[in-house]
Amino acid sequence: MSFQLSLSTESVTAAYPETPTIVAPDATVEEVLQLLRTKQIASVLVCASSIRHGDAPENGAGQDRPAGPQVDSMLGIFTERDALKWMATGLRLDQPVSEVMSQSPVTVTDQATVGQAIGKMAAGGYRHLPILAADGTPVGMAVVHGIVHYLVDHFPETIYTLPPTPDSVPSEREGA
Amino acid sequence: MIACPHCGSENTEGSDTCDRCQHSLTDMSRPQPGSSVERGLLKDRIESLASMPPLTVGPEDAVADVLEKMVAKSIGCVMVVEGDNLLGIFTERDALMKLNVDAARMADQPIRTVMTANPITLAAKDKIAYALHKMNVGGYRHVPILTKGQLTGVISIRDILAYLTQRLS
Repeated sequence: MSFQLSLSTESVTAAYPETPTIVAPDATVEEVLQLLRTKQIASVLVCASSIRHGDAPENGAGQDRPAGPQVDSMLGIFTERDALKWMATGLRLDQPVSEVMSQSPVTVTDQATVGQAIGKMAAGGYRHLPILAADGTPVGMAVVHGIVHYLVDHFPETIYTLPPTPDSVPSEREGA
Repeated sequence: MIACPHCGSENTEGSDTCDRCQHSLTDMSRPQPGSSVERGLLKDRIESLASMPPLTVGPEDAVADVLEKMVAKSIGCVMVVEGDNLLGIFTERDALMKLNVDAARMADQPIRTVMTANPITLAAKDKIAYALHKMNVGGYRHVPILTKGQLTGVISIRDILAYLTQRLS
């Protein structure tokens, strides 16, 4: 199996993006940290949710009326790094996550190529890049592990057939 | 068909020796690197990567001090060493998984209680392919590098990504 390597044409969505986990800006740091731990993930997106067309369903009324599609406008990102900073300084568990998140992170569009995503990651030293649709909705999260996995896909034999330790030399040839 | 590298005659797939000249064909079945990147991965050694010098702490250092150091130096992982021995590694991931909301309560604990003991290490003379293997298969982000048993560096997934993209693009 061989892959054609095309960093400048293939979409960033091919590089194993994660499904973004979204929290509200008024969620507390305690909630977010526990969410990160339970889901074993490294980042969440902080998004303000709104209902498209502005017709928010009234309390009690029209419960069986289907709500309009939810639009998430991204405010920031809260990653392991922000968690570390919070642990080293803040330590107020009831602090809203919007106070400690990284605001307006660098993003890519879902039309971007893998090469562009790698470029942005390398330039800023980021491990997470939110992928946004044309209307600003977060649709994915490009992660550095996914990118490396995507690259290794192009030479699987070189990587996946390695012995577990570099200096394991068999004492004799295999065979019956 | 396998072409004998010595006499050029063709042999059936899986032959151990050439039918005509008895030249060993064993090595012919080893995977051959296809591209220059693959050759580089199998040839270049980890020491050729510009890795960062590791930030080291003692096993009895308090968790709060270590966290402060990591933030101040903008570093994602510290090595816990005692003398010349690498005891463990403490990363952002450990902080998130083990300290989490208890960070304040654990602040005075020694770092050895929350570190990851006996991390996977590689030697500086190992090939880069191994580093890529560990990170991709094991899911590690940092691998400590030893030179003759002494901790000399740490390579991060970022170093690997930089190495790959430099050669692929």
